[in-house]
Amino acid sequence: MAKDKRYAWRLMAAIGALALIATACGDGAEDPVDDAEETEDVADPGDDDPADDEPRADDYCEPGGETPIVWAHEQEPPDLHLDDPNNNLSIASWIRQAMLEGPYGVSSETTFIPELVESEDVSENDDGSWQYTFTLRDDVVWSDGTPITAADVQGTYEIIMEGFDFETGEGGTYLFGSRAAAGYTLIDPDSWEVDGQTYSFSTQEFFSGYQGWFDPVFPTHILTDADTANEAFPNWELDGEILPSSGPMIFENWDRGVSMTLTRNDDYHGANEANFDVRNPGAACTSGVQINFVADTDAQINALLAGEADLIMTQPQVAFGERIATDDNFTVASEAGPVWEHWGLNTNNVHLSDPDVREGLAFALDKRPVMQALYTPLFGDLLPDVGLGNVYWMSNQPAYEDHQAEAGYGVGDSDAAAASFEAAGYSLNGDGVWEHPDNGPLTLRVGTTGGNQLRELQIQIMQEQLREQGVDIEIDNVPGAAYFGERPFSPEAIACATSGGEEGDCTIWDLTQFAWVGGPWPGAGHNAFLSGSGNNPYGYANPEFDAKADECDATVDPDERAACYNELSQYVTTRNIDPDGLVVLPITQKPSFFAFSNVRLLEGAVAPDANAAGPIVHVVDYLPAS
Amino acid sequence: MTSTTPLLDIRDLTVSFKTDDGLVRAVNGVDLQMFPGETLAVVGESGSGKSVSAMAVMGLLPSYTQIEGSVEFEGTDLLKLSTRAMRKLQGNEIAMIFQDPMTALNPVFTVGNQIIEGIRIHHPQISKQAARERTIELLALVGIPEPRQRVDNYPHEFSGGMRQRAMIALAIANEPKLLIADEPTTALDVTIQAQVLEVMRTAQEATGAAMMLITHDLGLVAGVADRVQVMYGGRVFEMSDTDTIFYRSRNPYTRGLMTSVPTAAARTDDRLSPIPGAPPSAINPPRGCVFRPRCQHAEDACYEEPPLLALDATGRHLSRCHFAEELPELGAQDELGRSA
Amino acid sequence: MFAYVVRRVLTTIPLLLIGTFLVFTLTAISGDPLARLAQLDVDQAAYDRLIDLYNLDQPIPQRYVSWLTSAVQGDMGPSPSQGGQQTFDLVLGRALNTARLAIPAFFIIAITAVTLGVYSAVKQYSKLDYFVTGFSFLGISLPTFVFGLLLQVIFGIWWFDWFGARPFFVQGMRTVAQHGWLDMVRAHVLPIITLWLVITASESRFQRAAMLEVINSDYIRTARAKGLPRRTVILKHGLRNALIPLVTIWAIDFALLLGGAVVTETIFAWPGLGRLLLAGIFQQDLNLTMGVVVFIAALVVVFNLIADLLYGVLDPRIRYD
Repeated sequence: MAKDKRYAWRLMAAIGALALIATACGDGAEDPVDDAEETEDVADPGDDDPADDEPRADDYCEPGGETPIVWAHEQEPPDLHLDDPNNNLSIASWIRQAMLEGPYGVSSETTFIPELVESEDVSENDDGSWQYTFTLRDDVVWSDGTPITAADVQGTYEIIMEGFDFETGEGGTYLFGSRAAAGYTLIDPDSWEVDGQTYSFSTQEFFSGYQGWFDPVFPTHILTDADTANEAFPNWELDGEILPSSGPMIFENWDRGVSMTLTRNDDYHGANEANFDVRNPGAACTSGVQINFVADTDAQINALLAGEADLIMTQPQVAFGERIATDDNFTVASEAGPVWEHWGLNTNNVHLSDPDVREGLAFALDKRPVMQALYTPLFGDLLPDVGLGNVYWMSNQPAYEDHQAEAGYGVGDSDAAAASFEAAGYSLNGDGVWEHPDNGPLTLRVGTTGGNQLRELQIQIMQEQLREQGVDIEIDNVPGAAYFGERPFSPEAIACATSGGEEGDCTIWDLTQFAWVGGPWPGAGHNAFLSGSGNNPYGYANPEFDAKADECDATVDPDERAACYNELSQYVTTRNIDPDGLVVLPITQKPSFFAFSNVRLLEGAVAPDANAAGPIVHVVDYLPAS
Repeated sequence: MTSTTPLLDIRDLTVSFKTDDGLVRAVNGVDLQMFPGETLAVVGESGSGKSVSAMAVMGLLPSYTQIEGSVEFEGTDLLKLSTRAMRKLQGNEIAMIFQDPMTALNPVFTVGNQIIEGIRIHHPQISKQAARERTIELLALVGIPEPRQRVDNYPHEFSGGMRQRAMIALAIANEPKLLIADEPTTALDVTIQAQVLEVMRTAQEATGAAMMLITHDLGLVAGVADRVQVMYGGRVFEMSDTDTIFYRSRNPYTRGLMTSVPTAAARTDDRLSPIPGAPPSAINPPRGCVFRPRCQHAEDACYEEPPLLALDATGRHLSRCHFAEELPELGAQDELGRSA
Repeated sequence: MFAYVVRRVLTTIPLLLIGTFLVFTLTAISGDPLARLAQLDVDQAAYDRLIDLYNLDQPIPQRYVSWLTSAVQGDMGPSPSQGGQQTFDLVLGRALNTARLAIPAFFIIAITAVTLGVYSAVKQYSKLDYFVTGFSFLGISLPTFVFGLLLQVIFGIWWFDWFGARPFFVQGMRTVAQHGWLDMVRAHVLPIITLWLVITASESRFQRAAMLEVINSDYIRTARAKGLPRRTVILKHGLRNALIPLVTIWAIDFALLLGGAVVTETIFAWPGLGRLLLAGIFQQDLNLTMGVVVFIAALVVVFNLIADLLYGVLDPRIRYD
């Protein structure tokens, strides 16, 4: 488990007559949040050079100021029980980032960085099992004054695992998604040893996502068992008492439908020395954060321009950039996070079941017009102009390799595309479209979350470009996130994908365009490609890939592990390793996009990877104008 | 029956409406006198200008109408009065009974309150209670049974005949000097018509008002009116005392009207003979005599020159016809002039 | 009258039953709460919790009966998308927030719509009439969200550029208790204007048509023939009749206003029923969706009943027996 598991996936139902009301909600441009997850690895914090950023300033600011930072955001969390898979909107995790810390946090490069942990030691035992030993910083305290100790970490583990039956692999009192997928089931429950700030335990096999464990650490002096945790987290209080924080902000008030208020934790122990993203080593400068729930994107922009919000963050909107970027009173910034847009290929489609056709499509597609039209104007050179060519590593991560570009994909190579289509038995018909004698013309439907302006434009550009290559694309969007439940993740489509086309309905979709959300540990993203996974709509099934995925997760050496994930990526984005592979065409990372008021904030500090961590993850660095 | 000073003296009244198709001249140079206490019947087909003339007297024409001429009531030209001054006369000195009793009363107020309102607007010194008593008397006068209970009824609780009686009560509430009844029985069941006419006569007697009875039905006029004024195409076509009109009409149009009226005495094999053709266009009236296209007696002169309203030798009979004197005498045995 | 009310209330019961059953069924079949979990990597336990909450292992009619049984006892269940709060309390709380906009908006709308409608009918084809007609078409054709956002830009942004002040808040609700009278008013103005424009536009058209019909009626002529002042004729005899058909429209508009204006609440970040309903739908919170729908249905039923009763008061021709 890791904080990268922020599925913001919301399947919206348009409900009968009520759907009309939903539609009437006007700006359908509202972004349905989508995604699931992907991955990233463990950059060992110790290996990174903290000196490459600005130096930490001990006198960063005089804590003060009476007005909180006002952040206007479109989503209101259902509750703050993040581990409940029903309620885990991104916004819930973003808010909790400011209140609870874990052993590790996430850096702006989507890598793990230490938060509560002072040092770690991972080593192989004589019996081949693996031993993990961590020491927490010794100056860390909860906001109620209670010291944070290793016992809190063990208590957190016990709450998560309470009622779990290791024999059957089922059960569990604490609301949680999948203990197995998060790797918690690997930990030997009898191996725990706790002494002061040090805790250790062991696993049979090495688990590369270990730094994501126990984030956040629960205040176990308050939350004594799973039931109390389940009771306390949704509204952040137990028996009328607000939960204490380990982060720079303390929960204060939640006026549902209106706003949530956090106040400064004056006793905050300060960011970890090793956290090179953070400059302020002490308590936050701002007096607090008020999150106003403003559902409409344009209304958020208006709120910012009207001085009623200091900070907003939305999915990229063209208007957003135009209206605010031109105003000196505001700073617009963007960060490339681990959210990546792609076209997924239905391998049970009559055309796409032939890998030659899939490769032909990969050759035919040119990602550059998309980048030039939609991303470069807003994000400059934050992203490569050839788009994304890897699904395990993102372009701003050190291990990134563009396998698709290496294979010659994604640049509209018509000769190579023609060769592939001809090899598959296709020839150009009178309309200039590739046609198969039995399967007919190469006409493919592509769908996405309708109403999302950026995505609709993206599809249109690619449709036009592919038409020149003899591929006929029909647009088949469904409004909002209802798209997912009606197309690639509809039960019949998933039945088709998981049964290799034996069951369900394989004709619901041909091509799908949406985004996955990753995180610092890439292993969390295997499920989109594992054989028979309900998370895998493409129908890719390769036992070799499945085994390789396990192997990568268990690879100890970070460099080898990074290379291993690169190999995995090639299974599904190229035919280099698996000639029957190539089931996704990654297009680009989708950066997060935010703006803040220069009048109210001298220093924005919205920096690191807001997609995974949210704009207030480094709230300590916000420097309000006095 | 008639005195020499007219109560109402209309001179050369012309009423025009602007429409998209052009200027509509609904009333074209009408003269009309009424004397205190008398009953004048104004007879004509729809579009003859009779109702419009009455509305001009009442000051109820919309503001976009053009009115010329004069309408003197007791020596005052009503057309020159301010709205406010006119209001003092409306419903007080001059009152009106409308054609359709089903819609002429406001459905949301009780009959009594509508009459009381009519009284008190002109006589604010009368207390509500007194006005109510007066209303009950009026209702009794017009023949409403159980007036003390009925005074609190809403119009929808009245039958058509009773509503028209209530309208009459409303009209005479302030003892007007002039009562204008615009087709007061047209919308009523035939069996009720005679009763209502009777009530009107009673009411007229009770108040001593002069009554202008506007109708298209000559048959109605016979026993009621002192004088008859026949109108056609916005003009006066014939005017005289009732007997003269009935027995010695000197106008082809009046005669045509008479042959188109059914009577109880009519034999079953008699066919009604309606006047052929349609009333003239008020925008583009025919050249010469406006009745010419429908007239059996029309000759070249009728085309050349519009006839004038001319007095006959008796000095009491006006007719607008070039051949008023040449028309054959009416058969004396058939009082409605139906030639055998 | 009493018997009539009782009968009307009784007849609404089957109506409400059919309505809630339909919405329940549509909600249940169109959005499988488990479908969302299908894209996530979760244990069976996560499924079981949802199955338990909504009795998903039972057929829909049975689930509806379970829901209904609790609902008639005042228990509309917890709302998972709202931190497990009781749906009943949530709906009531949000309804009060909505009412903060709806009630003043309703009266302002009624007054302006009647005034504009009457004036433009009385002065038919005058400049004022053309102005009111133009205003109505603008209000009817301008999408609410465009107008709402425009108000935000004008008063939140441009006004500041022109005059250096911001007269109104562009987002969020403010109460007297927490923010004082001034801020309360400043927060209410723009959303109320937004509601006002859209509804006034259509209501004033109805009012104009009704008034035109009335002032051309015979009884208005009678009233004038009585020598009543113009004001009495129009306001007493005319308006009184012209209001009768408007009562139904008022009732529907008021019920809709109280039911939450989704777009306006969304744009002005107003914590009302409309947004709550959206949250229920988008987050597949069946209990919440049903709670809001039942509340709105009840509002419509109640206000239709009130409208029918008011009809009787305004129009003596109508009898309830």
